[in-house]
Amino acid sequence: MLDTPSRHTFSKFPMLWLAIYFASGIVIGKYFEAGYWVAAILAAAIAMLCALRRSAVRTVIPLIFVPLGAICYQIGAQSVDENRLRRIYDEGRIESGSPVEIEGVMLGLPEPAYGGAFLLLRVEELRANNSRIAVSGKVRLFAPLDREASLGVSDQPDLRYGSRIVVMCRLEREERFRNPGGMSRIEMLDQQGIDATASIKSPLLIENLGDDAVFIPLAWVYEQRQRLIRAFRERFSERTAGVMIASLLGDRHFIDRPTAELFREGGTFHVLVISGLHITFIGGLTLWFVSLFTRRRSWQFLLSASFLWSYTLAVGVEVPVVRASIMFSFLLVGRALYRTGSLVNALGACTLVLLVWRPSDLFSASFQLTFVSVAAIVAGSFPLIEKLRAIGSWAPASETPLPPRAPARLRRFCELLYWNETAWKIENSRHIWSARLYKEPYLKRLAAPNLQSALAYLFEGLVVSSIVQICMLPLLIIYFHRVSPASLLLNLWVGGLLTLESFAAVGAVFVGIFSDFLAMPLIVATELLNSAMMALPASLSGSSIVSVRLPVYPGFDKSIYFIYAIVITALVVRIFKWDPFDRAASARQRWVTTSLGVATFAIALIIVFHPYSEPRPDGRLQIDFLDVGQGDSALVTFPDGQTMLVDGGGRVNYDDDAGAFEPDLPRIGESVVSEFLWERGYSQIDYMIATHSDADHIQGLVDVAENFDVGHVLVGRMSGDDPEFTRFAAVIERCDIPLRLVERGDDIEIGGSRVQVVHPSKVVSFAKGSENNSSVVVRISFGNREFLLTGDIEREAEADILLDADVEIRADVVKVAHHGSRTSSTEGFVVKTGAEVAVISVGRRSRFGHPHGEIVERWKALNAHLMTTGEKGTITISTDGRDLQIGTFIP
Amino acid sequence: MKLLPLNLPKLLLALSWLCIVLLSTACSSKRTISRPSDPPSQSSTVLININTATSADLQQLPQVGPALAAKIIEHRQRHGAFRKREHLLVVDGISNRRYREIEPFVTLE
Repeated sequence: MLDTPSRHTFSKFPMLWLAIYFASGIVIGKYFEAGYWVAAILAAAIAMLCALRRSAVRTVIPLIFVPLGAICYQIGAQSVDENRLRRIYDEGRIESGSPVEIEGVMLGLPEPAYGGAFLLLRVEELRANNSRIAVSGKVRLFAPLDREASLGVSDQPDLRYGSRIVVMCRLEREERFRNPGGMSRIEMLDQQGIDATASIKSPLLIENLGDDAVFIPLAWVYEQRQRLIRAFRERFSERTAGVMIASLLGDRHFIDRPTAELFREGGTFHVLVISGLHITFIGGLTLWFVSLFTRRRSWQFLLSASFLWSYTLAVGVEVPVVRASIMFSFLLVGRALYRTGSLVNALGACTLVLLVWRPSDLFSASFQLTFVSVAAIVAGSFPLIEKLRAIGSWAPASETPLPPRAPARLRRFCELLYWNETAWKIENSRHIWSARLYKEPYLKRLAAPNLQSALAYLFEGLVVSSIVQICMLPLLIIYFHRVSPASLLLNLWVGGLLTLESFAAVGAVFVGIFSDFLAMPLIVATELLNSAMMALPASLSGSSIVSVRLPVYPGFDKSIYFIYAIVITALVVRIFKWDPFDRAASARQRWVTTSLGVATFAIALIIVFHPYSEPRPDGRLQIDFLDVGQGDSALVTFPDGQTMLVDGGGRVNYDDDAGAFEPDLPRIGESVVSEFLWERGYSQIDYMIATHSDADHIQGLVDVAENFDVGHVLVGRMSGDDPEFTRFAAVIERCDIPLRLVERGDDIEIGGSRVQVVHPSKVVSFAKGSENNSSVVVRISFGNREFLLTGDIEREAEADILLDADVEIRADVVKVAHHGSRTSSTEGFVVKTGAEVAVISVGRRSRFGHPHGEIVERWKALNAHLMTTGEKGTITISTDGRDLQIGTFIP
Repeated sequence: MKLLPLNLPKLLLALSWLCIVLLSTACSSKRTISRPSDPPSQSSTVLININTATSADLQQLPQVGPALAAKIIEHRQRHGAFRKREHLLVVDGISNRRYREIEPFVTLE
């Protein structure tokens, strides 16, 4: 029964309210310059409302906490030390990517990853251009510290927690790809507390100056974690080891891409990240274990908390883990003090503490996801389950003498799950009074006695899973562009099997210290459980039950996500307050709840089916040249709204890692091109052109083909043995997209514009020249304006095009061939295009030196306005047939 | 009278288990990694000083052409002299493999 709060308490969940007020203050602090004033006004407004209810406490609290939030945020945002690395790079005192020598202390052991290790360094001194400055901040370096030294030289420096090292590297603090709607890399680094990163070519660039003193227990904890990682890698198969190391020890670098994708598709990737779930589980396990030895709650608290925090420190003090540990500690403290903690209150307290510590976390994806999922569980699922249990297992008692008011079907379903006839009979026989209860569970007698509790667990799991998914819907779409209907079930399946597998794996490692023979059955069990766990997601992979990729509503339409958040919060609050035993509940309340439910469903449908999310056609032809680094990708939007994607960028791997292991690194097609398209509101692309099969053009198209509904694919001549093309063709076939070969002379009319294929021609083949010479070249005309997209053609192809008298290549806007390389852009070709604008799609620092100086000069000699995507980010050019409007992401 | 709030037999069992685990982890040997050693000096050939060499001198090094030599000199001019031979690796175009080929022939003096 819910007892009403006395007049003297502020609320039943005071910490939650404090957290809400504080968070509002932070939001105000971020978006309003004179944050304090707005915060003060808002606080005064809330206070006035509270004063109307005549409560002094309720008046004062928002008055204090809202401005406090704004102040904390602004202090946090401004107080960056002058010699902090991030400030040095942000102010441009040192250029990102220039070589510097840094001296610092390692904040942990090298974190093993595929092909090397990550080093986290607290920097103390920086030397550049013959000067030394004292600095502060943290950097993350990747060094190829391969124990299996491939070059056979034992020059690995002995690095450990506390080692003082000097490293010569090119520190970077910059955005990799600058397109509208992309995730800011700098923001992500800031959230992790990292000022800059670098990738070191060789361990020879690291000098070990000795070890600083460290906190020995912590060093020991780190050491044990490393041992466990090594032990897992030795004993288990690559895939199993990867999964175990990620979920138990927080190192995700040993999971290969296909496995990670299976988890992502099923919406179960969170099990691979040490999260609240893990901490709750480990904390609970520790508590149970410790309670076997002592009944004193203070001892239980001390032992469990110290183990939990050692674990938190061992796996890297990452913010989500710390959040979960703080929350668990709150609950433990409550338990130690013999207070029944309200979970909602604990959540509020924990949120408040975290926001005071790092106010800017409120805007981080990780915080939002954690908070919403925990709130959904604690304020939505658990109370709902409790009430359903109360309905099903009701028997007359002093607090609840009368039966609950609930719809008959609901009541019968709850009785199916929770009504225990035998227990009631026993209890009834003990009473001095007797009662006859009319219960109608759906199945009067279940086959096995434990089936009912198993069914109840399953149902509760589904309830938790669904409520979390429903509450997280907008966040999942905004951050991951993915909705997984099957995740309701998959979470239970994967979660359950992963738990068993973790026990088996840890057991195998410990037993294996003494005897390999005894460990064998445990190892086998682990492998079997892993295969079973992956089997279900693997069998469902690719179907839309598992994973649907969705765009977001652009611009002002984003407000629908806020509306959804408000409606779902109202619904959760209503469910929380629902008391099935309250006979005075009015019809009006029921009506409110029902309409909230219907509204939630309707808005969810809108969000998922995203009608009208695509930008409305404006009668203009627009081309967006995306910044994909080294590579090409351009989105053509036709006057009637149809779209054509010419190439999708991609990462070219020059390292000869012909091993079977594909590390789980972000792909350009997914994180840059698809992201751009989703942010625009597209879920389908009408045409896709793959100019040729170089990875930096075609790899991204593979991801786009999988994530979007593609109408047609146009290709030129490509070699059948090219591995990139084979992969591409396989995906096209799997997604059932019509493939069409184009050649010179083909003319397509799309939305009022004309798309002419200029190259390749039917006749000539370039057996001697490179494959680039078979690139598809298209000329798009609309009104008086023409655009020429040249792929990677080289001088042979350019000569061939010039020789053909029937081919017209005059254009206002030209995408310079082959990233401005001197293999292309011959004088004759350049002059014949007569371009006004020349766009070069190239990375900021091309390892090939693109664009080559003489090519730049050649285009400039034409008086063309030359721009590169590396400098300007996304370059957008549009025309109504007469004018030419140019916009760039970087002004 | 119970002096300790703990269940003694179970505690002893747990402690002994813990000791065994700790001893076994402590007993396994730690891998030692050898420190980098200086390569034997080539007394027969003249070593090239990367801080004072001209482009022509640098091109005498194996696998170094005019473009790479220019990059090394440009690096020197922009960022100052090389403090260690290994810092050559920072220059664009000098990979691990190439550095190992150059290494026996370069010096700082």
